[in-house]
Amino acid sequence: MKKRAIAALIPAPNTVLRRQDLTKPDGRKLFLYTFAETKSAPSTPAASPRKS
Amino acid sequence: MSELRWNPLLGEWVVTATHRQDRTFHPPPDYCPLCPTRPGKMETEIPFPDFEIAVFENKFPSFQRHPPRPAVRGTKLTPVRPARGACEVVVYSPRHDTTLAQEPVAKIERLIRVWRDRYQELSRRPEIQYVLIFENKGEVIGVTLSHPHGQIYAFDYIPPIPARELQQMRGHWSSHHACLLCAQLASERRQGRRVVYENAACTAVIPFYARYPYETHLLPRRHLGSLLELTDHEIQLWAQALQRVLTGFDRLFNFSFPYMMLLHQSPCDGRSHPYFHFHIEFLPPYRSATRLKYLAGCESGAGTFINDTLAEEKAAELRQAIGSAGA
Repeated sequence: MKKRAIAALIPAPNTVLRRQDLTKPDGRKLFLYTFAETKSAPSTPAASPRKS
Repeated sequence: MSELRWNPLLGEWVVTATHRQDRTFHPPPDYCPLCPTRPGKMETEIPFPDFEIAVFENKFPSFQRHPPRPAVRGTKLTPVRPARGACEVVVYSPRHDTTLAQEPVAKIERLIRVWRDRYQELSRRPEIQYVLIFENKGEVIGVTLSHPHGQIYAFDYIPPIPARELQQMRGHWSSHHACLLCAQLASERRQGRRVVYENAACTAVIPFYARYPYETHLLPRRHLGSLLELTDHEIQLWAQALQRVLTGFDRLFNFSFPYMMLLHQSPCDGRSHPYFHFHIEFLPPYRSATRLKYLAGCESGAGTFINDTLAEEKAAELRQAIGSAGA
């Protein structure tokens, strides 16, 4: 319930971004990002309000 | 020690984070903690010989997922509470001697995708209400590590400046049934004098009300609340726009231009903010090739900025610099 507003805005999962989640010895998180080119069709934006 | 102390005079929280006094301060390049770990050399924050873009939790955080208990007791007048949230470091490149402006558009596009992922992930945490993605660039801004990087602060409350923006946008939405920044963007585009760059997805302007001489705002052409709403094509266009603005900055005085880059995205407090309009603000401290704009008495004492320049004239300079950088 609390997070509904954001969740509604999240588009389809991105297929070109990869994330490796690691934990350092002191417990801190480390995220390594890699990218793969895809030929997928462009995503469409989530509906958002427009008043002007 | 890290805690939030309430300032009842201004009605805002102050972070007390004494452990940050000991953070790494301008290390020599061989000891840069943001470089990849080279064989036989000191282990850095990224224990791999290479990477594309890396994000890690700050070793000296102002906010933490599991913060320590406050070291002092608050009072009714001045409450104290744990500094809950997150502080992350975003390392743009394994190269020590580059800047975001020098990176290819394709790399900036990848960085935007990382920003989206971090915003999405942090926003999902139940305690997080606001995510600020930013970059401090240049020693005059107070940067202690020259390796190209940005930061992310996630708060369990909406900080004062975003709260004030929200209030203004909400008020305009209520009284005019329209978005404040959509109206501002339309006005800037109609006049054109302060527009410094534009493509199909976004417009860069030195706004009518600029506080810093080269303060530049990058606004989406359509109404959207965060990076999450960009299409793939728009991400490419935003990457182009970022590169053009940043290279234009560097062309102004032919040195690597310091700035603060601030991504103003919709709060993630579980409420709907349809009036919020995403934008990126650049606040460069230089007012000429050799002089800085300081936040002095009037700015710090009264909260009123004095800009010694005309936004229209500075926009003409920056527009020309962006044009020459793209030529």
